Amino acid sequence: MPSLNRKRLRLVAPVALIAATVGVMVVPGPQSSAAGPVDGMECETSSSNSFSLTASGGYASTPDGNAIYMWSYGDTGGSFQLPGPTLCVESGAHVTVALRNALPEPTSIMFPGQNNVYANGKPAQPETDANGTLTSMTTSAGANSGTVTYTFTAGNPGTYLYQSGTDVQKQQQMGLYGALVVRPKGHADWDNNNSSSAFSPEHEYLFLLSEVDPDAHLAVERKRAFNWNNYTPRYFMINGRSMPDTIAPNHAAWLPSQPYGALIHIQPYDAAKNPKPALIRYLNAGTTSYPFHPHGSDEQLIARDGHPAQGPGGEDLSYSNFLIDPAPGQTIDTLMTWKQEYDPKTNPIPSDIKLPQLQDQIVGPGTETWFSEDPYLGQTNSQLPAGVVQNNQCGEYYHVAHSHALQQSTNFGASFGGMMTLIRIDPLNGCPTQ
Amino acid sequence: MTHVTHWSTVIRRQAGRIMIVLLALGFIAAVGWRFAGSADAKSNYAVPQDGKIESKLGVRITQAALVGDGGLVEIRYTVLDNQRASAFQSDVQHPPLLKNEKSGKTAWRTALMRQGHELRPGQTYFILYENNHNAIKRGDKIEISTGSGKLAHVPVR
Repeated sequence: MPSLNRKRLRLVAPVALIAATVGVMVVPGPQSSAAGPVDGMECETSSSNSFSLTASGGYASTPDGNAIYMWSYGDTGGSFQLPGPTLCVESGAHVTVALRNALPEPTSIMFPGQNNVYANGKPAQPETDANGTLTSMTTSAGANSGTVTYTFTAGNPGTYLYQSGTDVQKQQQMGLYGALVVRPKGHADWDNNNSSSAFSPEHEYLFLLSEVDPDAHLAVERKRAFNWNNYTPRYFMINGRSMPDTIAPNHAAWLPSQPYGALIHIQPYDAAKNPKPALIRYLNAGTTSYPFHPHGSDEQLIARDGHPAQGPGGEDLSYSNFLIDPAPGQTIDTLMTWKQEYDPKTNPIPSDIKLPQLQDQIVGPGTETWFSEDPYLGQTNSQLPAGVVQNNQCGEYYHVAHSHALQQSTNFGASFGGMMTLIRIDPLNGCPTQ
Repeated sequence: MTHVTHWSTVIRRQAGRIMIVLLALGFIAAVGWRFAGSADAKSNYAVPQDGKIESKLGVRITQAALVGDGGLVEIRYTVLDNQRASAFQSDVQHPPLLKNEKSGKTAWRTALMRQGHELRPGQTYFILYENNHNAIKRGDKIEISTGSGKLAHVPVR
């Protein structure tokens, strides 16, 4: 009998192993991220609009060498990540989000702007303790492996935060937030139901803005009390990263828990080759306004909190904005079109505009500009000394984009950090990488 | 009773065992590939250290990375001695030169002011370079030259 079992085992084992290997390779997970772009927004989608998130603790690194204990939502079965996955659904879709709580205290998710939010089949409800004190703004999952399943109907097209509704001051500061993108039905390349909100899908960006007080996080990590009157944020982030990590690629090797970069990489407007603008989705997951300023090109504000900028009669109320200033909890969607103004032949730079001098292009005191020695986009051969081929890849431009509250553009007080990134503009014909 | 096993049977059994082991390893590899995070995230990254350069400059180079979609090179350094590091940071006329050890191409143009004005020991700061003429690519090794010496074989990620 034993020999018979061994014989069967010899026959069955290879088949079973081959079948298991094939299964592992081909069976799709319940949710999937779009093939990782190097930059730009990375969407998590599900054919059944079903997502499974786990709230857990982990560490985020800052460019100055710190490691901050955070709480965040991550894909169940996946690894810790900050911020939570960017969930993308279609307006009107029936969405399911199953939350598993791996934290030592109850937590929850609020879905502002969505309709018919249910928790475990019942309308999501605020929770109170035995004394009637509010403990959660929505139905929570119990500490240490509690679960709750939310369902809702995706609201108007636009950008929304999802975030903890439990012990909000603490849990949102700890990092329990993410972005929910609701796309118009049938128009994945529009921001909302207006055709004027059409954008280039290859140039869709997420700027989830937040801040961190490391003392508060240390107190939570060590299970100590924290006096929130002493709250002082020291790190300011875009998509859970601070400059210069913001300009690193998505899924950079040195940021295993912070997968989303914040580099904008575009080309100039051209009616034939590049007619559509970039779309930038701003979300404020912090406690104060972040006056975000893109150098070199204003942006057209087209929506707030999922509401298009239009009047009661549908009139266009969008406007060009020097400063995008989302309030806490708010989202703002903007379109960016970069137009090439000067051309060495058809529209040369006026002679009274003083260009930076070659010898000024040094670090430290000076102009601190991003200058390829040629002021014209895509040109590389203007002022260069003999023997120098060019001073960047292809005469591209880099513009700084950052919070104009300059203390927010620091890493624990060190300037040129924090809530800052770059807008890279390549020549219309692209930028060879060889 | 004596069992007589033919050599061909023995060989067949051994081959079968080897195949099962190989298939099991293949299964483990597939699980790892499918469910593990980025291989890069788990890879060991180490920058060579040179005590002489560190004692002269007061900084330790900790990372060379390609950022800005390949248009910029980031050099990250941790301050060991803030007074010497301050002299290093203040020498704006002589930022470190980056040389690709394979191609010989160099990047020398710092593209953004060095971070920080007050250097704290133990904190990490950065310098960004324009990647002129695509001098440096991910996976390359570079030599970082300063007035105090050269740090060779620094991997770029």
